[in-house]
Amino acid sequence: MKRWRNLLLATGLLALTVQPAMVLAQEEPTVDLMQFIPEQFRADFADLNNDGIPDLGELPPEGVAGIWDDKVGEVTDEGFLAAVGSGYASGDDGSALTGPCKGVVISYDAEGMSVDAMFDAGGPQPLMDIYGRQKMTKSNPLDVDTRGVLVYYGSSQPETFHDHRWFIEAAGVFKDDGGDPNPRDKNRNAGSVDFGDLLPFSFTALVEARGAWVDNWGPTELPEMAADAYPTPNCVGHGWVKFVGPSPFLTPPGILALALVAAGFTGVLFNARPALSWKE
Amino acid sequence: MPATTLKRHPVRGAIWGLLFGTGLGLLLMVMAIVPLSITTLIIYAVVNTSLGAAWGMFAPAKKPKGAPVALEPPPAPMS
Repeated sequence: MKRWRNLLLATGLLALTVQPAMVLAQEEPTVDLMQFIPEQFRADFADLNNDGIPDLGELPPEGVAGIWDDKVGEVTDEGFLAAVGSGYASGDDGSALTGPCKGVVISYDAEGMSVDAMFDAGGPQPLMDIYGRQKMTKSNPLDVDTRGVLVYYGSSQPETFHDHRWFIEAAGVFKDDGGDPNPRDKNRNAGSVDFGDLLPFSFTALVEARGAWVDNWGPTELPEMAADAYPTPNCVGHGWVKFVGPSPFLTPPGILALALVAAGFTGVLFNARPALSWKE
Repeated sequence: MPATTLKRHPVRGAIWGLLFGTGLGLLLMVMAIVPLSITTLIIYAVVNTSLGAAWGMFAPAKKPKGAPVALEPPPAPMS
């Protein structure tokens, strides 16, 4: 008995010692996202949490250009491809982005610390994280903080979509769609999505996201179909997103789930068993 | 030996099973162990409803409470 207790204790101590060390052993990034930040602002976007992704830290004052700002159109297709590299092979069909679309996404928590990042170099190459692994697969989803912000740069170069239509949906969380005649011939864009403003409460969930963007479709709603069924050029993608909140047990869905499990288990155990009674 | 009757509770079992299954599905989803999906949630609820009903029918029965009801002695023969 004592031997088992000591073995258990030793295993626990080993796990406590080795596990954090393994987690802390940071991988070396293969893509330097700092290249996308104008040189004069790089000092404001230092990698504070040492994950290879530039952090927002303290936001620059309003009116000062910041991350992804591209007022003079200095991010060219060649420049982007040179920054992210190429020749990535797809090893998992859990995520894909086909067509000319390419870009970079970084997600931040509410304090401006980077949570995750990914990019796509366009064409048949898969979505990748900055450490050289395929991204948005079920085992390597894009982590998004439900109180945080997501910033992106996207481009359809060398194509320019006109009279286009798009949709994006995350199963069970949201769906959005739209389109634009694009009279100004825009073929790249940068922006941010503030999940803290969009979502009513924090939660943790793994969801499958999918979307499409089709050139020359017109004003009618875009149906979900295979990439080769849409007129070309088009961009079609799917993959996994993990929304990350605080502890799942402190969120409204988590509390509801725990209450249901507790009530159901107690009821099954104590209120539903067949019972013998004395015959009168 | 005093006789007993067996009372089964399949409806109660189904209702508690439905609550348990829905909660379990939701719990696994908020812990990001299974993907968020209505279909998955319905499968968890239906499977656990069936299991609950089966539990209410076939689980080992609880022992009767209290002392057996005393049977009235047969009336004394008329002399």
